[in-house]
Amino acid sequence: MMQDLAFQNNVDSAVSYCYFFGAYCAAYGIKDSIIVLHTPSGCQRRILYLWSMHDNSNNFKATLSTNLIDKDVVFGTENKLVDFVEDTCTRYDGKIVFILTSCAPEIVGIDYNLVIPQVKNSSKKIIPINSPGFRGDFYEGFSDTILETVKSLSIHKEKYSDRVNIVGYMFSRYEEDENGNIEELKKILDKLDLKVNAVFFSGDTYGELEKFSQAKYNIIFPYGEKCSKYLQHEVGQENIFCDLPIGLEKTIDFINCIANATQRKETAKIFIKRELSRVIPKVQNTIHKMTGKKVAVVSDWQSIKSLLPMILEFGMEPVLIGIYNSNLNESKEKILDLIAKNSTLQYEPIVIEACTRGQIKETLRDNYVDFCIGSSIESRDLDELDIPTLEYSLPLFEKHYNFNSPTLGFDGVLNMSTQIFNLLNKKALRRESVIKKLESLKK
Amino acid sequence: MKGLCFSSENINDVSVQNYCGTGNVNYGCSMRGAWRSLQCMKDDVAIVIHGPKGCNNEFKLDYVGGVARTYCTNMNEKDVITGGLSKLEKLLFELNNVEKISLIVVLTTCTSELIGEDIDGLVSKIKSKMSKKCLVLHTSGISGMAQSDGHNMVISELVKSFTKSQEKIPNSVNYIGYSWPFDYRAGRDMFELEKLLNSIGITLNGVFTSNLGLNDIEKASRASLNIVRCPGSAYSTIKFMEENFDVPYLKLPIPVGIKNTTLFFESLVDYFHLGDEKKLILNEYRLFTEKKLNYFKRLLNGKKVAVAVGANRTLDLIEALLELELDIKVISFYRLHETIGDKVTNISGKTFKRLSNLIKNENLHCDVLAYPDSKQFWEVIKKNEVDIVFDVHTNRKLIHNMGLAFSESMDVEHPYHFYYGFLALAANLVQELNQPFYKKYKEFCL
Repeated sequence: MMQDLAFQNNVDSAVSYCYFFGAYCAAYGIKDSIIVLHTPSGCQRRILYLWSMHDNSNNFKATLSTNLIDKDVVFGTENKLVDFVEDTCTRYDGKIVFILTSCAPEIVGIDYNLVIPQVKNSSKKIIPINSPGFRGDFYEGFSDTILETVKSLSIHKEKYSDRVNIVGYMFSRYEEDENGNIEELKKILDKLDLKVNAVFFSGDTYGELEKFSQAKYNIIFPYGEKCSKYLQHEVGQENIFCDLPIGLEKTIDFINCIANATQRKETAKIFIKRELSRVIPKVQNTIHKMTGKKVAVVSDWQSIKSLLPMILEFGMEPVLIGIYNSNLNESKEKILDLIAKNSTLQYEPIVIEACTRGQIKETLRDNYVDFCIGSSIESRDLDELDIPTLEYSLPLFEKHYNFNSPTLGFDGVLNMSTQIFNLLNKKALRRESVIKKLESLKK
Repeated sequence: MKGLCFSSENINDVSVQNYCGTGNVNYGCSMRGAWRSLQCMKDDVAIVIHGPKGCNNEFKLDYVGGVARTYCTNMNEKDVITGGLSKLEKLLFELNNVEKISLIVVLTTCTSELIGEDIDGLVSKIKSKMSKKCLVLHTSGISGMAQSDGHNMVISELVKSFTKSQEKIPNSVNYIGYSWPFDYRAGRDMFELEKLLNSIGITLNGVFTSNLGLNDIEKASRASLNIVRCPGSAYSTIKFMEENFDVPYLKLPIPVGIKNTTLFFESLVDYFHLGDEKKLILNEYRLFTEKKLNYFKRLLNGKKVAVAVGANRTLDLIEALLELELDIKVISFYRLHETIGDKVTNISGKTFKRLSNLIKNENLHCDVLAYPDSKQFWEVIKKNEVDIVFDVHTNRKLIHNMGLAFSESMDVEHPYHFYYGFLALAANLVQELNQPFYKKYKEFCL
């Protein structure tokens, strides 16, 4: 295998995807959406391939491409797009049409104000999104598309105080792990006498999102923060900002945060106590295996904010924290601050922002870890180093979920702790792993 | 947008002949083809994609194996405005210092081409400071070039850069236009190719680009003949080698099915004047396969098939499927064109003629699609009540959800070509047709 580059190289293959892919992922999260990719053919091919890699097949989603070529660059792409969207609206079933532009038409310049009014006879809602890949990273594309979707929905004045929206759930596949997370969130909120009104996004239809403005509250996850001002000022809702409820501490914080905002403190207190009584005896059986274990975490910043406390509360030690996102400020200080407050670690973990595959691999070649929390990319890359990976981050294509397997909430704690235990247990029973660990201690 | 759909009876209609509908091309861009060709090589090639990180997305998966490593300059908004050449230069110098890398290939993207990055100029400028050879290929998707053009670019550039004039090996061949990683898919087929060629006294010099090394490219001119598997992937290379190294070329059918496989090898026997006794050797393989095939024919007889592959493979595959006594009901071409350089013309004359002859000779009654979109394809499939669909794996779930059997046309895991591969293909079809799950639970499938 080729030797990878030293980790000073920050132009190695970045792990995270581009803005365009993030926009697609968001549009994909609405069940009855049709997605028109205003792109040359390669972008569509890559997207379809990537999404089909997860479970080796594409799903029912209509993802169409205008297949731009050089002639379109010269003469302009608007006319082609108008004809294409008209044809799509006529022939394909769906409630809403997303138009996503890739790098090429954006560089050439596209004016949606010319395109949309020319599309005739369409009963479908059309949402155009300027989404060139170079505009940012995957998470920014995802967030911005949520905002555009929210803006397309009509606003009702009536608000129900027992209803909440969830804004910013990163839905990427129509599979039971994603459904499991949504069910877990709904279950938690149900125990607080709150009904989930609309989720951006969870594979619901556009019609189900239309009632979003009737909720009094919005739970804003980090991916949905860009919507918060619009939701507050234009829609008149109250925002509750929460981190992803991964692990016990963050789940309790999540519940308390919502309870404080909605005046349900007593209910929350009883619920938390009951759940901890249910969950802790089970998790307890796995803690001994996790104590002192060294971990690498490679994921997006929004997830790391929650994964890291989970790692620390289970008594594990983060050695490497690889953050997919680019354009972040202060994440490194926040991480170090979090660790300083919550653990007795005698060292600073290595933090790499906008991490690349080469950086992760090279760092872990020289720094022992017992396992890694990452994506299927890390799983493959770290196989060579004999480091098992708990696949959590996107892209996730080597695991399949045929039953509810949440990663959020209390059931998520049970699931994660089980997976980590099984990984570590299997590794510990291998003689080679023991020898390797002993050798690392000599360094 | 809807593409062209016509019944086989109308193949000679003027409107069909004059159709020019390349707007629905949906099978990847030339960069993908170039990447794929480089990925199959056995030497350590560094592929540098000069563009935003999204262009590298699929290639991160490395699903096809191979050893080539893909890097990307991850151009962002700032780079689009001020230029990304400094990033590229830095990366090239870093890759130059990695000992194991034998070649660096820079692939351009829509972004880098549209903003006018002078990558050729940069590479020329730094050439004297680099110890490794660096090639630049202009593979942007916006150019409209097909995936096969990407393959063509890689093979021809490699040959132009590395092939040296060498003494010919008598009765030896190159096989050009087969880009699959050896360990993932190509291996068994290539073993079979080499075995059969050796049995008739022909040496396989190199397969472009499966398991190809730079040493092999250097020796490409030793071959007495280039066999063209995929014209779209080989047109520049074969012309270059004919003019510069005196290596003629021969277009042979893709060796799927008994007839095409036999024609493939017998054409080589005739070309090299090896004598009829070599044909007798092939005859033994052929008879063995035909005998085994009778079992599968009984099970497949009359089953209706839809075939959706690239133009080059389609007709050869259809001839093979007819040998299995399948009933071809739908033929769909992702691309049905001739390429002159990088320009796409109307519906391909040669393919069309061949299709017309096939329809006439085999008395086919089917629907033919060219450049269909997915909805049109499914409508025609439903109308014809097909039993099995040949398509790419991204459509597998949709096909199964319709209660139909599916056979992979591209990323095949079993051997596919030659006599042994044909038996494997037939066995796969029977297995897929007999899979009860999707039919039984069709109403519950999502």
